Amino acid sequence: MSDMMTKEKLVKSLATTTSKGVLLVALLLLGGNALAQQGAIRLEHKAEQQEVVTDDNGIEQTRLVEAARVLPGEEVLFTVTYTNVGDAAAEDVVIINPVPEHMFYVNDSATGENTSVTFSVDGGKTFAAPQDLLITDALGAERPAAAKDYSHIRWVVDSEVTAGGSGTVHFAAVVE
Amino acid sequence: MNRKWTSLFIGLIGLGIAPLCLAEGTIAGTDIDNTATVSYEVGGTPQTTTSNTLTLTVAEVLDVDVTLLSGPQSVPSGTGPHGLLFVVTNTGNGTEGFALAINNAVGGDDFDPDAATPAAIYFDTDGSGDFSPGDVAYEPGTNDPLLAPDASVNILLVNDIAAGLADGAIGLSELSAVASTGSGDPGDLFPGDGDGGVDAVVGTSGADDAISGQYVISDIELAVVKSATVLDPFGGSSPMPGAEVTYRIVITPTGSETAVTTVFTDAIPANTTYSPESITLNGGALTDDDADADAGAYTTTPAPEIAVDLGDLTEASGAQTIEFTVTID
Repeated sequence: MSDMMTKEKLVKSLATTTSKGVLLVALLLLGGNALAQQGAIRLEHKAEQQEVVTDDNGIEQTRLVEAARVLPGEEVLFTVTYTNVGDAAAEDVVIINPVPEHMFYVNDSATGENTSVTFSVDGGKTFAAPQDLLITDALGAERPAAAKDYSHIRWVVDSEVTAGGSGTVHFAAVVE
Repeated sequence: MNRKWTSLFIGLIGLGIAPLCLAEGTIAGTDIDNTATVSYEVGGTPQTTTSNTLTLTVAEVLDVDVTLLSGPQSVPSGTGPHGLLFVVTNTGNGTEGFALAINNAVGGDDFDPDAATPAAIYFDTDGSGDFSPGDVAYEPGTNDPLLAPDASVNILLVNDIAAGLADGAIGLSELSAVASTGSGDPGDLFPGDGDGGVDAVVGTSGADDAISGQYVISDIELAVVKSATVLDPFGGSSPMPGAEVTYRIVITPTGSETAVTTVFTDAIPANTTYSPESITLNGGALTDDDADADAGAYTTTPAPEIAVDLGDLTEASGAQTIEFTVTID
């Protein structure tokens, strides 16, 4: 790489590669300036659990309450809200959430308006639809992956997120 | 006979049930962190943002299981002490102490066993499964068993049996175990009382479990007499390498009751080798195969032994004669 290359060119050339590590380097080089100049997406994370309450008429109702304590076997609903707080549209918005340690993903629970959902069974290296995910066991045999094999969930937002725009994605997981 | 297969089957069922009761769940006090990441481009510039990190703390589940290990104990009237073996298992996800208690005033039986004095609850300290001199007495509040998640402890209830009880009368003795942190209805909360100050929540067992063991008054006795005949390679009766030893065991039932599903087992003596297919019962040959239908079996694990299923024996059954042969190595 030539010493003559400007900082801007260097960033551009690095940004075209796909390695996460390289992207991180690019961001470090840009420093806080670039983030402040451009639009940025904020994420807000929330964990809730279903609680069954009996109302004054003796009818059981289910409501969501913020997860305070969890017990083995309990299900937690996670909601990630993304908001474009910048002044320009964001494109290629991809949200990735690891399935938390000590938890199993609940089958079919990942949703998000205007998003395509895929999953990883290899620690977030590759993502695919559930029917295309395979697990290789110790003997080298392959089997279809089950929900509890998922390590990461990825939501690709189908369209750009305009300035001020926001959306939510959800998934549920059970405490081991 | 298929005695061995039955016990293997039970073992497999046990393994299968374990995950369902959610024992060995995530340990109380564990922090579960979760952070989402978003990547995107603005004006062609890639950016990445991470969310706030959510931390969920796993609370302590208070759960306990008490299981009876002893089958119905046949005991003569007017005798004691007699032990019943139980296992207490911490099915919660935290380290928990358990208070133990004995209750002999259980309904649905014919008599109340008399709790042994000065103590009626013992740890099976020597692991014998029977009440024996090495076993340590349980003192409530002093040596309550403290169990890690999924850990268990074997407990004996020790009772005397009153004189003058009728044959076949049944007496129940119950062991209960209650979590020290608290018990009650599933979902009851003990804020901050769990391991490391996390909340403790009563699990499906109510953090309280109990089960009864059973004594059955039985006046059947089995007298066992064993003798041996030696045939050496030279036609004499000297025990020497190559000599055959035929053991004869005579089992004589006496009394008014029935000894149910009686099984006779005898270890093959050291320095001898069992002569295949040599078991007989009352003069009739039995096979060595453990899995087949007949009453005989020769097994080698954990140690070589022969076994004969005698079924239910009463005095009317008369003496049962078992023979088998070994060769001195």
